[in-house]
Amino acid sequence: MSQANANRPALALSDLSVTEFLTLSRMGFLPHGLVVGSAIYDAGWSNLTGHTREVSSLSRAMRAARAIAVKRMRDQAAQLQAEGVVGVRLLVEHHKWRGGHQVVKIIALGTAVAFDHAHSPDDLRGAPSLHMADGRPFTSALSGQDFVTLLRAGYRPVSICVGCCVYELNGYGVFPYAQAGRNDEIAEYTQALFDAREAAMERMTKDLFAEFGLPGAHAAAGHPDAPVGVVGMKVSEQAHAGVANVIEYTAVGTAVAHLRAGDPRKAAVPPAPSIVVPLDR
Amino acid sequence: MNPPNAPRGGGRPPSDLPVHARERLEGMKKTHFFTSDLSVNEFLLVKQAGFEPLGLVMGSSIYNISSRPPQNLGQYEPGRELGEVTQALYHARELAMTRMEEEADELGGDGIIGVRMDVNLHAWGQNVAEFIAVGTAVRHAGGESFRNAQGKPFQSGLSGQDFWTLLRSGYRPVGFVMGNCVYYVRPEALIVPNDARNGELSPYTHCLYDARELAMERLQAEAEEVRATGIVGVEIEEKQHTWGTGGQFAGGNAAKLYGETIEFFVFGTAVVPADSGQPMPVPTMVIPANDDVRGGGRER
Repeated sequence: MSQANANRPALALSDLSVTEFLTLSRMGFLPHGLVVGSAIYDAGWSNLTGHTREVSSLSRAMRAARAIAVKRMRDQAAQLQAEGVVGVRLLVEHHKWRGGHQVVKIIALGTAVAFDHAHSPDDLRGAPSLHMADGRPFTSALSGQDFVTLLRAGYRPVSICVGCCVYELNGYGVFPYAQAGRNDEIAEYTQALFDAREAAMERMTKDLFAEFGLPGAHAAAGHPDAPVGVVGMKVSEQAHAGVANVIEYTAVGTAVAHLRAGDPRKAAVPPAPSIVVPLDR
Repeated sequence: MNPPNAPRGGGRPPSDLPVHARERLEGMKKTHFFTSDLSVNEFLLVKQAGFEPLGLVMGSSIYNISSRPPQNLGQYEPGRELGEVTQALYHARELAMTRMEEEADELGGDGIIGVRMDVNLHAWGQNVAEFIAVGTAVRHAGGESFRNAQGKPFQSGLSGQDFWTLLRSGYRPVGFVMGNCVYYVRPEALIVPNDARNGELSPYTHCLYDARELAMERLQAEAEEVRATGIVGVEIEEKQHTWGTGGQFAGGNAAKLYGETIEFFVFGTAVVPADSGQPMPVPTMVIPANDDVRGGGRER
């Protein structure tokens, strides 16, 4: 076994599919283990008022709980000498415990991977590390294939990014419409949920900029990992803790930055797409 | 009773975008930071096609929908379109689309790709539905304008892969077009004849036929309005609604007691020919050895 491999656990767990494993290992990335971070967070009383408004205490709790879970996962990956985590999933469970306290359970899990210089194709040997500038591993929600495609195209994942907004609706807002039997837009609700969704998306980027610096910022300015964009973003919604008129919006994505200068993993010619007819169905 | 689809952008003007929307869009414009729900493959293909993703855009509308069975059905009439409800559902979607378009306009986009139209039913209102339009705003990197005849960003329901393929094949999308029809079917049309033979419930068939054709006709009319030569990726969705039929109280027997309210919703991407300047690519046949990827991403 090579030197670079010495830090890799002899038996590394991963939740990669076979295709993902092969795609990653052909490029020189090997799994270092399944990494998990979790947080059980007490958000206190939800203090619902029955008015249409944001429930800031819950928004903040969701944000803090996710940040802790992701940090723990990242720490675990660092301990396994990994360069980063691919295929990150964030699982959320809501509980109502201790007489009405909102308790949220968050689990972040993914597969830690690192580049093995001994194992990699010759032309990629000596590629710079994908660690973030402060030495922490990157995190990403990308599949193995997406991760490799991204590198070939000259980008690297920096961090998964999350934004959250919990909103409460005035449950009586529909009454006048229902009573009058009107076919009409309920403007109050539209505005509220539209705003909530936008707030979740905006917070996602705000937190990202706060941590890594504004896009276009330079290494000289102390922001060597400033991302250029977010891919694979999803905005999901769910009734918070099963309360129908409390709705939680979550925006999740993977922030990407340009590869470091001279990284041989960037394909000299961008991968050219070709049209294929799959014969498997 | 054939209510034409309301003209795009007609009716009430969409209300102002909420505070956080303006803030978010301003921020993205200032920093040139993009967000997108494109997968990595889609992102790269869109760039290959000469476009830059600008940001995830969306619009929504929460609508109260109230419908009653028509009072004056003729004796032998199996059902009829509920014109007012058709228009309401169309208008709700249109509001969502117009707001999404506004967001893309605000970002200076040439178009919106990957447009999806979702309907959310929330537990807090039997007759309330939220219509959401989501997509990724893009701009042509070469500065060529791809906006539609109205000077607005084009909309396309195609994935990044399909968008690339379409452009390479010499077409370009001009609009996300849709048509719908809400139809009431009276209970008598749903009841099996007494002799319980295996036979067609022809009045019921007739209603569904009529509803589907009306929706498709409206879809076509919309495409003609934007001078498209064709519509690709057409999907037909049949939705059963219990609105106003008392269905929510009657369990499985609702239709036989109160009749049925169904909606046909059809949508697609209107396209026009455009010279791509490149020969049409010849497809290669492959046998994929992977079984976990469809369209480049893994389902989560």
